[in-house]
Amino acid sequence: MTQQLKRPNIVSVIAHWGAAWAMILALYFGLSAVYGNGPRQETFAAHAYAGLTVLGLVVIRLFLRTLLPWPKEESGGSRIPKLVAEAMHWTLYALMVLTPLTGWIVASKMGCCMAVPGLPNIDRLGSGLSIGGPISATTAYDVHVVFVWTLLALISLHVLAALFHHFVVRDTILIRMIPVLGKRAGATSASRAIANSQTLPAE
Amino acid sequence: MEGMSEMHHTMSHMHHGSSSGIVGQALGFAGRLSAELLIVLTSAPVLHVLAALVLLLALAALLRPFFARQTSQS
Repeated sequence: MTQQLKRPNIVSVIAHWGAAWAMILALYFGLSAVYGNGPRQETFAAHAYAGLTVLGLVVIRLFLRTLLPWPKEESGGSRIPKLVAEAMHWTLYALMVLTPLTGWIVASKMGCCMAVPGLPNIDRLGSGLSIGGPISATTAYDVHVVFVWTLLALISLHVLAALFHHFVVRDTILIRMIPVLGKRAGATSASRAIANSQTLPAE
Repeated sequence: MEGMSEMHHTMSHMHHGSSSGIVGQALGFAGRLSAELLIVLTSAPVLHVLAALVLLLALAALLRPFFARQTSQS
């Protein structure tokens, strides 16, 4: 008898919440660097480190998601919301890679005035390869800003959808991403399984 | 360090510069954004990092059957 996988692996769960906190910090330091009155150099460096943390964590998540089995969605219901949720997740992953990357390009191109200690110049990473064209700091910055606001809009929808699943649909989608509530998630699944078995007609 | 603020203000002026109706502005913005998006996605730094990411995920996909077997045994 095969047992259904109920929750993602613990490293993916930790990386999920770590990336969430890193994105909040990146947004705070990013807005402070542009609009704040504090020390801009230090604030911008903190913004860059938070952004790179997001990039690192999302790479770990993508690697583990490809490497390890991922919990299957609960069966039943319409296909369209599942497709929308899947598209939303992959768009979030793409933006979580591309947003720090465009920021890194800006920091590398404007090393004169926005140097981040310890951050390698991104142009030197693939110096042996001759793929892709050149890019200016203004283009990268423009796209970075658009990506940030798009990412924020999608994260808001992501949070609303998670709360909708928890409070309206009453499934385990939110609970399985919160390890502290592990026992409760198990209890919920067990009680639902019992309830389903009681309502099913005898074959 | 003033460079970023100046760049941000320049961007804001560029966004509000033309005044050919709201549809024209929206189309202009969408067109400019699409062009910039294309430049970013086909730029050398982005393609290098994406190529490295694809290789990493290909490695994970190759190792997946081994880990799936271990998970089912445990």
